[in-house]
Amino acid sequence: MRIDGLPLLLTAAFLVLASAAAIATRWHRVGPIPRTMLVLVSVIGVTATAALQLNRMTATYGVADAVTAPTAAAGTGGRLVETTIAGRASGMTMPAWVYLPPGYADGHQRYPVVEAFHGFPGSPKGWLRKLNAVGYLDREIAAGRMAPTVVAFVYQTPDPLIDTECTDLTGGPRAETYLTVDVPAAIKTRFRVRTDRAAWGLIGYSAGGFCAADLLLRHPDRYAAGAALSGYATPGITVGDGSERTTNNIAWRLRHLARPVVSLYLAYAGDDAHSRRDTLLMARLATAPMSVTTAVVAHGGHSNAVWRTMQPPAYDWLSARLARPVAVP
Amino acid sequence: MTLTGWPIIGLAGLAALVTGAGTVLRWRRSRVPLRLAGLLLTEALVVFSIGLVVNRSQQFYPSWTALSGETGTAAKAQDRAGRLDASFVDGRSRSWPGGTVTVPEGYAAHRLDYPVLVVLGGPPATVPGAITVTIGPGPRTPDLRDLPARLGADLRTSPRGWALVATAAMLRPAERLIADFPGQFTGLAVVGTGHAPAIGSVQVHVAGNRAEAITWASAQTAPALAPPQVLPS
Repeated sequence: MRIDGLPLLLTAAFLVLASAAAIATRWHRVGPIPRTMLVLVSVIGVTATAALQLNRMTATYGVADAVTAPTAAAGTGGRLVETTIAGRASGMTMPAWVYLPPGYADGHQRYPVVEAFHGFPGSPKGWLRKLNAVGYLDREIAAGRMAPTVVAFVYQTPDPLIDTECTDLTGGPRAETYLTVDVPAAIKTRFRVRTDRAAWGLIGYSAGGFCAADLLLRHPDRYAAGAALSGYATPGITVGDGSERTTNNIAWRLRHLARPVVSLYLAYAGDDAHSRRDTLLMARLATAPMSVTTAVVAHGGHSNAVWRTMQPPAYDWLSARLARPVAVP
Repeated sequence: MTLTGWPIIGLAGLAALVTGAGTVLRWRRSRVPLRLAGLLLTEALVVFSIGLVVNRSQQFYPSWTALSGETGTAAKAQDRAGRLDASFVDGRSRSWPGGTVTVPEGYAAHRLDYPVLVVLGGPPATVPGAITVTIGPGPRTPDLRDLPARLGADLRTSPRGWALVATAAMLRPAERLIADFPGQFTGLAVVGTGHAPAIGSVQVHVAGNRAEAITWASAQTAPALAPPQVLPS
């Protein structure tokens, strides 16, 4: 039974019903110990039901096979493949899902690459299940608004309860090293992709939006463009070395360090107060030689609906700023 | 009543309390179905109240509209036109201040935005999937000073991802272009010199001959794309 499946949710809901029914019928016929047990089961049932549904909404925990099913009729859309990326540099080993664009299988081209970061709590399945990323990628590529591109949907943490914000946590997971060294190395080895900086970009929503902007600023030698959807200017965690106030703080970087030659796409929802404030701050500070594009969704808060609306324009924007697919020499 | 306001949270909390208290106080006098309903309703109201508080603090759904999944926004295609578009219906080359502009095959028929290959020195060049502008030798400074903006107004050009080809004699103007327009160019191919200066984010390639330089440089450019979907800024 899958942790994010309907059967388990219904089982938990049944537990709620059954324990309530048992309390309603048996309360006066049993002693204090069974009563305590009934109340306990009831509380566990309610908590489990709420937690399971929350997990389904954020796609945080779940088994891998659920997203590898073909997403479009054969030949018309891209293909999603699962691969495990063993972190030689970071020590972090995680599965990843890689979108191979239409034409990949029988073509002879090297493609540009986008790394996609999820929110916290969350997982790559947020992109694939909740945001329908494959559907949007297929559509933009088919319409010619996006060049065929390889997109890597990656984990930012080995433990769903640890929020790394894509940094190397002191004494913890080395997410930054995994995402900027191990993931690119694996993608370059296993797939027909371009290896030059001009063809590599980043995208992320929510915490992943912070990741995209932060890693773009920290590694302009590896990435040319990044898109932050409802992102933040600060990681909001303690990294362990104080860098959340300095080198892992986007506002601090933009104020105190030389700005790199990169393109940054900043999208926010008008009624998402925190992200709106941070995004406007980043847009104000990210002056030349950086190039910044802002995009506003009228309302929708900090939600999947907002990120679905933001996706196609962000993909089009990225593709126009990444080097094209080229024939393998 | 707003989704994130105190009134709804207070009301939900109060309802949970009243239902809970009522269920307990009337327990002995109630039949099983009423007890069951009281229990389930209390549990649902407690979960609902906690959800409202969390949503208020995190602002996931700041309004009922947001909760409904309605964003009130639709991306629109940013259709562009160049001032000189009409002059490429019959021919693909024409003179342009400081040099010659050549558009790729299909420029007039397809409404795509194309990257630009700026060729400094030598005869006009043609490449698939990109606009070429051939300048020089010996360009006057005014010809290069606002080149991206002027070209962008005259033709349907990509915003970024342009590339340069320069003869050894034209290396200096190429470096000037890269310095003046950071991020505009992704690659520079130099013909006829062993000198390969690394210029910030721009890849530099020393090419054996002009044809190879043009092939390499066009591979560095952005793709030719249909008008992008854009959101309001």
